[in-house]
Amino acid sequence: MSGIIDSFIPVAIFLVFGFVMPVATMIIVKQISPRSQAGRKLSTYESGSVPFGDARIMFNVQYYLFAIVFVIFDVEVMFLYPWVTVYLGVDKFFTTMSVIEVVLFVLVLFVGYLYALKKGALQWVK
Amino acid sequence: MDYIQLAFDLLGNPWIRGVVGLIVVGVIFFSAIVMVWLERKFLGDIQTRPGPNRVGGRFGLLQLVADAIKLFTKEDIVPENADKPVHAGGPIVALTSAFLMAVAVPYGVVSFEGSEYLLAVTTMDISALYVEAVAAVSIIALFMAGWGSNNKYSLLGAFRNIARMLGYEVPLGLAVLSVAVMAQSLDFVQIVSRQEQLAWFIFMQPLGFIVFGVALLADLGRIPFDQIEAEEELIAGVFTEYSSMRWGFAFFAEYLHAIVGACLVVILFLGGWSGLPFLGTLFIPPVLWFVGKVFVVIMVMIWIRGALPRVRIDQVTDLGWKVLFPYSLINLVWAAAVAMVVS
Amino acid sequence: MNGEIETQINLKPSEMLLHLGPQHPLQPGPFLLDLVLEGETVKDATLEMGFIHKGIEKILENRTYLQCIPITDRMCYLASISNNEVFCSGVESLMGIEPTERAKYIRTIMLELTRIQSHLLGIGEYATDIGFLSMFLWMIREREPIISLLEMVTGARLNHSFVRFGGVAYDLPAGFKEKTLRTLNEIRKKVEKHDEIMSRDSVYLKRTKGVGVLSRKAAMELGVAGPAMRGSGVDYDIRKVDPYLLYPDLDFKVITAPNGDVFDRVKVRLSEILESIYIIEQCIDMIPGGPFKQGYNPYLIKPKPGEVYSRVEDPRGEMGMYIVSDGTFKPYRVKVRGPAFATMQALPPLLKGAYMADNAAIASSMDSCTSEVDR
Repeated sequence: MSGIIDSFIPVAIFLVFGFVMPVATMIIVKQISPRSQAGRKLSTYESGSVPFGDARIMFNVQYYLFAIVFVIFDVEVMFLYPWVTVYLGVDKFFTTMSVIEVVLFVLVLFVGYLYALKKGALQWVK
Repeated sequence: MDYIQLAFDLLGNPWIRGVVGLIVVGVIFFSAIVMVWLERKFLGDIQTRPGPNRVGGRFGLLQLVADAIKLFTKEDIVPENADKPVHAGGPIVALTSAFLMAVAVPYGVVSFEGSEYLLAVTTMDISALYVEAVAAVSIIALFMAGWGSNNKYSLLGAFRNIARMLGYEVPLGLAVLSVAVMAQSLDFVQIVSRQEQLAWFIFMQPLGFIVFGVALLADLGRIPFDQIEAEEELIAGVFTEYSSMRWGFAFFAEYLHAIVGACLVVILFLGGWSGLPFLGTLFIPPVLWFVGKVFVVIMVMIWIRGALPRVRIDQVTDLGWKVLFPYSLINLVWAAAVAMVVS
Repeated sequence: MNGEIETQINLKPSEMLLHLGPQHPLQPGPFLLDLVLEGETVKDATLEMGFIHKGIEKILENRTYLQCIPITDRMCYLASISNNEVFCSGVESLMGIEPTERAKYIRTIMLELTRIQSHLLGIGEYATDIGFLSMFLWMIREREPIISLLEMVTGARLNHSFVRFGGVAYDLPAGFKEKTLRTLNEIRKKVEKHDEIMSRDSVYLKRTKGVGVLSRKAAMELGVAGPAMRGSGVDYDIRKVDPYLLYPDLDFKVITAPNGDVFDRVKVRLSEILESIYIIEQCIDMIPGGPFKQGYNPYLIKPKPGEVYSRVEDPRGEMGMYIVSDGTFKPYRVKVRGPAFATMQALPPLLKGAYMADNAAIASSMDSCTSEVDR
């Protein structure tokens, strides 16, 4: 247990550093960079025209479909991760059974993939 | 000699190793600078132009320093309509994700008085999974940048980014998984030593290498997959509203990701810090082997950038879901079969 | 700004109105393209031009005929020799004179060189717009020797002001023939290589085949000109339809392509470069001696009253000028009919229903010149 925590202590240090370093840099930049008082400097850029309407429109449902399919298959991949480290474990019977199980698991999801493909969930909507 | 021994012992302490390991950040920042310079120079060669050649002698060695000074002394502009914390957070998260990736990557081994020491900030038994997980955080970073800017180009870029990254995370994960199946471990060190025993995994599963390479290029958002910042369509994509060092962070994060990505290719498929097959290490220290291989991978990435036009976003998602995903499944089955035979 | 357009549009909650322009990396010059986007798809497109209107037609009315020539350069810097030619040939027919034989050869060669360099830059800009920066720089490299050739003869790189009434400004310099033949040989090899890249590279083919299809009928209805029209299979070239200078006697083909997509339009341009090289190689061996201009005093040009419409094949299509003379030293009225305007107004119908990403490929494959549109 302490081994796991040990290996993540540097991660924590890097995490803190990763947030502190940019913020500190930005503070320095704020001090040394010039400030101009030009008008409309802070307006949103849109090729030199005045923006019309809000940028934050409703999502196209397309992106949502991609996201759902992604969640399904990414979870599938997550399930496979623990399997890879143990499937060649105890004895021949164990190995055979675990491989068969995983092949079934992947097959079921592959059918799901084909279904999604057929339904056009992976098709970019024109 | 005892001092060196003492230093190695001290480095056994995770706190000390973590703080000392921040050197890695410096090194990787430096390599990012070198990579940018290399990219500009090598692309210049491809495109029959000199590339940077003014600052710092004939080869423009100090060009990037000049660029950094410029970025530092530029005014930091946050648009008035932006969601300020989210806008500010985007590049920081991207940079942090790159740092966190760099933590778990082992860079080689050094031999000292008969025993071998690993050059890595930290070792963990799930490093492959961990690196993939923190790499995926950059999706959120880019979306934060796009959404926070409240700019239409940025938002379109952010949407594209989501659609693209989602399509490639799965094949990427499955490719890493196939490597792990062969190595029977998620630990980079184990994966490398397994390759020393068997063969480089590029030879054991060429399909996996191709899937991983393409998916990685797409994940890094380099040409031909740079739709999120396609200049002629979306100005600068998600980073349209960034200036000064804020933009610099985003830019650096991109290159840091590219370098760590190249390290991953080397570790997972090109045998890490081991020498050439059949020839061995040829008296070159393992660290140099590692650096050399990373260099080659980076050069190939730059070369691809010089040689291909940009792919359209719908073609990108098609490639991810309809080509790479089935192939990565096939490769997984292949890898499992080979692993069973080999053991 | 643009109040009228915006209030006419009722946007759905999932749609956004995106201004592309007047300052956008896609554009060769400032114009405004309003796109209604739903996701990545363009639902509607509106075009607004006139950001760099220079009033060239009006300026021409207030200059003597000789002073007009440098002004015509400024319509489009990529085709200044064609612009000179269309003005000068119009004035020549008003005056009832013909250029000398030698001048005809020189003008034909210069026109074709202009076409080559304009097409090279056009393809290059198009290549950057689909994210192929290397191709852009290669094209620029190929274009450089052509520009040097033009500079060798005219003394200028872009705005040549080279054509005169009944002749040209300068004679060909010594060594021009050898240098031209050498340069053209190299360029032919390189262009053939680029042609091969552009017809083989699978990523490129995927981006361009079947994208932005302009049907033969639509092309004719919209009055699209030049390579954009010939890319849709319309066999129309002023050099054949209404030949001028040496073109009646020269052997050359009108390049067409059947499909009218982005790929075909660029392919037509690439093939036209090769065809232009062939034309120049025919002419350059037969240049006769004799004077390179008529003995008129160019400062005292005073055509008889009358009107004329002259036209030439610009790199972008039919370039026409309607010139009215009232018998004074200055033209009474000059009306320019440029090819780029027609090409650009074909954009909104072409963009409708296309992907946002194809927008760049389609717009720049038309190779229109904002400077000439706005004149």
